Amino acid sequence: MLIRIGLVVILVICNAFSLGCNGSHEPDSLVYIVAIGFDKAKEPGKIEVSFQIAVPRTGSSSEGGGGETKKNAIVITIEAVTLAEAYNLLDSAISYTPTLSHTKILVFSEELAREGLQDVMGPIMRFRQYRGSMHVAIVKGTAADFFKNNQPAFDITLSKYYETMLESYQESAYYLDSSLHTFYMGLKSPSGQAYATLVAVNPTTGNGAPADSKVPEGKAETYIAGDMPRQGGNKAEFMGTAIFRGDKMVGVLDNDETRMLSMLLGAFDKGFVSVVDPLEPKRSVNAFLGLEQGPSIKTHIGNGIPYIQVQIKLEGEITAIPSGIQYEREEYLSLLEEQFSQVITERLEKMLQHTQAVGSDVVSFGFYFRPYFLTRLEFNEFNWNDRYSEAQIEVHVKTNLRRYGLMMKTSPIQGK
Amino acid sequence: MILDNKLITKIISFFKKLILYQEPALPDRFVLQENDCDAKALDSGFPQQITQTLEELNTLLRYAYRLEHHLETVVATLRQGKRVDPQIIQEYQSLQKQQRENEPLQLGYYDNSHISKDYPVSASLKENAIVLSKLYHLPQNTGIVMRPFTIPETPSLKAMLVYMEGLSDKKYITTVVLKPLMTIQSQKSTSSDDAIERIMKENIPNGKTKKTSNFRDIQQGINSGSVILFLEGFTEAIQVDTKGWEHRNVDRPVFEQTVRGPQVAFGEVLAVNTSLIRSLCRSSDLMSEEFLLGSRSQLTAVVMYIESIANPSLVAEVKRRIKSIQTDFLVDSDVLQQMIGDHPNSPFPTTASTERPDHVASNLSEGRIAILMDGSPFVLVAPITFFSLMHSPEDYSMQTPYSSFIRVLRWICIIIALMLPAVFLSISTFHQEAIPTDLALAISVARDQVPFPTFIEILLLDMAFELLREAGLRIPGILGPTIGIVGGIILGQAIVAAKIVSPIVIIVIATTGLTSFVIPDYRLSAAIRLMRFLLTTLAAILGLVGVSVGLLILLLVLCNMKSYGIPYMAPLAPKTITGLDVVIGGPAYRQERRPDVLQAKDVTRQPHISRGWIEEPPEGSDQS
Amino acid sequence: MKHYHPPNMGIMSGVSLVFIGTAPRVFLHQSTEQLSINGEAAWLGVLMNSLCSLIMMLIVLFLINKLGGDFLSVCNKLVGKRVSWIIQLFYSLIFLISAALLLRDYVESTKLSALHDANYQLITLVYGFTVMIAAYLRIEAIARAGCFVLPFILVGSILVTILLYPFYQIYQLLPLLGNGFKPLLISGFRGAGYNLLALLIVILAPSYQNVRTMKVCFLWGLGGSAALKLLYMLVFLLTFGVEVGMEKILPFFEMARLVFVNHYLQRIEAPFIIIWVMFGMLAIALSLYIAVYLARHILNLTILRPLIPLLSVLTIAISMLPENFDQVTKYEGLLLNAEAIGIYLIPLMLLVAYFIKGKDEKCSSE
Repeated sequence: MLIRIGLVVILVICNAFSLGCNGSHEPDSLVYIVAIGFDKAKEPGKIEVSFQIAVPRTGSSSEGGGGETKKNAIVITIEAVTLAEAYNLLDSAISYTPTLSHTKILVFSEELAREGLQDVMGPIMRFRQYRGSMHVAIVKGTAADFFKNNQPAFDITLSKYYETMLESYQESAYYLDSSLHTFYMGLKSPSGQAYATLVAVNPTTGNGAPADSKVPEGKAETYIAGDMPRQGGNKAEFMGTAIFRGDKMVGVLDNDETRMLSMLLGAFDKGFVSVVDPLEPKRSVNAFLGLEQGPSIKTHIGNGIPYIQVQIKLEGEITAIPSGIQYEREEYLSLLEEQFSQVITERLEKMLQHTQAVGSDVVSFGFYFRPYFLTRLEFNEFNWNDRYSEAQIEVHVKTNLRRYGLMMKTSPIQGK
Repeated sequence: MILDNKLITKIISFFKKLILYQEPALPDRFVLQENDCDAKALDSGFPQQITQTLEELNTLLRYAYRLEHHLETVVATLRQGKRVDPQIIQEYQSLQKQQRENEPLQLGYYDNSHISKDYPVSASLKENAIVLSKLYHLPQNTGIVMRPFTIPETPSLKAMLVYMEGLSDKKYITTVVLKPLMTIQSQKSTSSDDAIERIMKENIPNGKTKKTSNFRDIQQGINSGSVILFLEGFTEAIQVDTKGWEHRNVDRPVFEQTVRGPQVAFGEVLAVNTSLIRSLCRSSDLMSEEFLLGSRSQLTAVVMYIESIANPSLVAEVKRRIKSIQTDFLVDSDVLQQMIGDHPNSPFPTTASTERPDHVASNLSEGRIAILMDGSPFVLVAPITFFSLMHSPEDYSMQTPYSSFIRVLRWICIIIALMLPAVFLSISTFHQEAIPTDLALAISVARDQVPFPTFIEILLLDMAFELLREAGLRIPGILGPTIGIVGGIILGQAIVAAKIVSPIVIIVIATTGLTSFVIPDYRLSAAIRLMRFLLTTLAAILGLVGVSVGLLILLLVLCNMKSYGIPYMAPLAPKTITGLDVVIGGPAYRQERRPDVLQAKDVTRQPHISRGWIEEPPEGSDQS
Repeated sequence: MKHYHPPNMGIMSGVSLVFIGTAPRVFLHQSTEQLSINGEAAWLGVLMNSLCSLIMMLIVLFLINKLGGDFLSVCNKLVGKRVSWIIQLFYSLIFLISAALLLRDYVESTKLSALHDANYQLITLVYGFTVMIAAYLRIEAIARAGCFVLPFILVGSILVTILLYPFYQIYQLLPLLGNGFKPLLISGFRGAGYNLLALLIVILAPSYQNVRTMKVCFLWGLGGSAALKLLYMLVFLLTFGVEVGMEKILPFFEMARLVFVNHYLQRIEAPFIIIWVMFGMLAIALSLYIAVYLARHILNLTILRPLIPLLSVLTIAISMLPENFDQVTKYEGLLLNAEAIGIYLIPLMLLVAYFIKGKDEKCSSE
């Protein structure tokens, strides 16, 4: 009896240990791919895949030698037909086993996006190493270029760079983060379209190229990624949104339009807005606004034409009044609020016209039409995505400036 | 032979002795031969011995018949009222002579026969002395004292005192037995039948005295420190309890120290232990029943329970198990636990073993049973559940929120002690995505030059920790701190600097070891440590799936166990009414029920409002 | 032949057993199937499933209340020994195949999600071994381990649903009727078969003291598993919607992967492996145990335990029969049909037999 038990135990142990390590990898035999970039290759039908691989090091360069910063990551670009093939080819280029479990961002070049991402993005959710929390970005130019120029200004690991970058959009709403989940949902959804963050390499020469969507009363210039006039810092820049129709990229929203999009999505947390001073047109007034509550969107269908009414409530505090006019008083305040509301309304309408022109409903208004249908069949017949261009959209914005910052009023500067 | 005494051979042998190495003439080494005493005893001297004993037996029988016949004639003569014939007196004298001749025969009888334990006390002191020396292998076995003396009554009574030196209290024997008997001033005759009763009742001022009539009880009495008084002419002996060997005083607890609460621990003397329990639980319902365990060494085990609370079938079961043990030596209560416990092969204990009387007393009041063993400072409490093993006596001394918090902390610690290396191993080798990226990169860097896989690292360090723990038990106190410095600081530092293990694994193992000491019961923490090895191995093979499979099997086995009839994992599974004391304790005034799982006779401890002062208004207020 | 009395179990054990028997498919691809059939009305379908199964169980309970004993003796009394033998054989086979297919499902899920590169047969063997041990330690141990594990499962599951709050889009639940009324009705009725294992309460009726206990077990057990399934269906719909949801093979795994609160609390699907593996093992063991229990009655054996290693090896072998995942889905569809027969036809047959025979127990063929 004892011999039998002993034999069973030995068999079990041999069984368990002899079948390989069951997919376990020692943590130091793995290397983590932090970002993947897709570019169009020169040959038709092929893509160039760039892998940005994090070099194993601790967060601070404790062993920095000779004053130069250690390398954060290496970039390897491989030309292949599919992503899977490139991933396998990568094995021959690096000694470690690459893993996609920590990939933060997928970057597609604009060229590739304008041609259609169906071949790449369509099947992407099948492979288990992709997860919905990865981010999607479209780059002006090539992804390989973007990766090479992406040297974080501070000495942090690249994964931390991407993570913090894609979380800090909430501060200004000049770009949005688009997770793979949201992007994929937008791709497959009959009620809306997908959008992705726009990134680019800024030459940091100090020359900018403003986009031309400025509204008369808006004071600030608008830019898209790569066109901001600045010098210094990391050359990689996140600003703006790429909008899609189906799987093809059809347009770009600049930073201001992105902010409007975030308002409509209910994601506008805070941001500085500048408008022309209503009583002194040469100067501007600055306010720190945010959404008071989610946008209230009402819809109805009349004669086959969809009507949408959007109500947006903003609230915030005044941050700068260069002209010194006492807008804190009630009667002037309403003037100011009116000015803000008007500017934002105009901007919203412009943005919506822009999206309607390209037929891309990134706000996903289609959801609000669902209560009118009883079964999916009827809703699919309604075909919202094609009807978006003919929808009539009204926007009402109400701004409430409840606080004035630290100052109650402005005393004039003496002795000028 | 031809060359024997020639000159050449002598010269050769002389030079041989000079040059060659001679081994020193040591005796052969002792080797224990195999035991076939069963075969030998029957063969040697078979016919001769039997005939010899047969002759002796015949002689004794003839004497016995003659004596019987003589006594019958004497009785007949006396009944008829006649005078005693000189013939009868002659017969009596010849019988006396024959008896003296037979004495060596009778006494030599014991040489060849095995004395059974039930051998009765004989009326002759000499016979008793010989029986005792056979039983105790005197005179080689020292320690037994046999002191003959005379009781000065009329007529004087020969007596013999037998006791074990060292086990009995000599002063006490002198005061209680020797002095009163030697200075006896009774006028009654000693040849009456009730002399023993009289001596016991009137002359021996001791609390525990009884009569014995067979050598089994006499042996047991001498071996446990009583003194036996043999009287010439009586077939009963008096046993006086004079236990008094040297023992440790009642001291502080060694393993279960607390900050608050009583600081008394059990000792090695059974009477002291029972007295400590009785002092805390002063109820006339507190039963303590004695059992003698072991055939060669008879130690006493005592079962204590409160009769009006404990379930009678539970008590009967425990007593039945103890009574049915048959073994040679049973020295410790933990050995007893292994003999009567339900799952001796499982590392999880089914009884609680404690050295604090207050712990035992509170368990008795819940309806449990305490088993004490002579010579063991640990008392067993049965039946228990897994959850009561995690209770520490300090929980009742602290305020409820803090003690609940500490209990929850203890449970978190037991889970950490069980699962931390396994979970760490599985996440760092199978599921790296669960770690934040920066930490994953840091682990990569930390493991840079370590030659072993993580599993071997963890095993190595775990073994090292166990080694340290075992070694710490045996280090003499003087060297303790030194070894601590060497083992802890230098080894730990050096092992990381030499890149044999990575620092993260050291943190994991150190945390695990620390949390395993938080577990109150020592045997439970040993079981948890054992399970941890198994879980780590499973994690190395199959990752978190292996951990969950192992955890499930462990849970199933635990749920299947029973401790003296109650499910081991009550009151969580199966659900019984608990009374707030399972994981989070409740305040004392809300402990209204005893644990339901024990099926006690009387379930309520205190009424719903146990603090009368709440309902009544205070004195001197307006509400009365 | 000594009648084997199952041990005494309380309400809590009963509830946990029913929960374990009916809920584990929530971690597998059952949600996706219901989504493809019903569209946005999948949660209504789930609700209908549970209600129908509850009604059927209460019918069986009514019969037991009137006739006493357990399910098997009621069958004996109402339809005679031969037909009752066939019924037992039918149920035993269903439970055995259900255990095998559930095992296959779990192994596939494990290979997809947790142990991607592991050997398929190793995982099957390990799971099979665990199931064998669990069934070997009999139903008391399964019930108590279930009692223990249940709060953690509930907390873990609800935690996932709460952490996905930022992803909810309430309009995904509309249009209300999804793919239409007819598919809803059909799948609603047919899906009651998923809860067939709740019958174990009435099969093991001697453990539960009276009918009231059994009713409480049914209500709370089926209600609890219905609540969990409903919650999962709703959250799945809210986060993924129908189009994307129809694609997923492992809904729970995808939901756990999606959790992203901030960059510290993301990618946490690994710890949830512990929950669904334990739950699944207990469920398979329970199904196996009931199959063995019925097999013992069928074959008229005195003891239960030697059958368990035998039937668990059989289960493992059956689980390896389908060649690819599509076949697994097909077989599960067939099994569901059989379970639907088992949950509708047979209790209704018994009910009809009861009313035909009247209340005259003396005429029953014993």
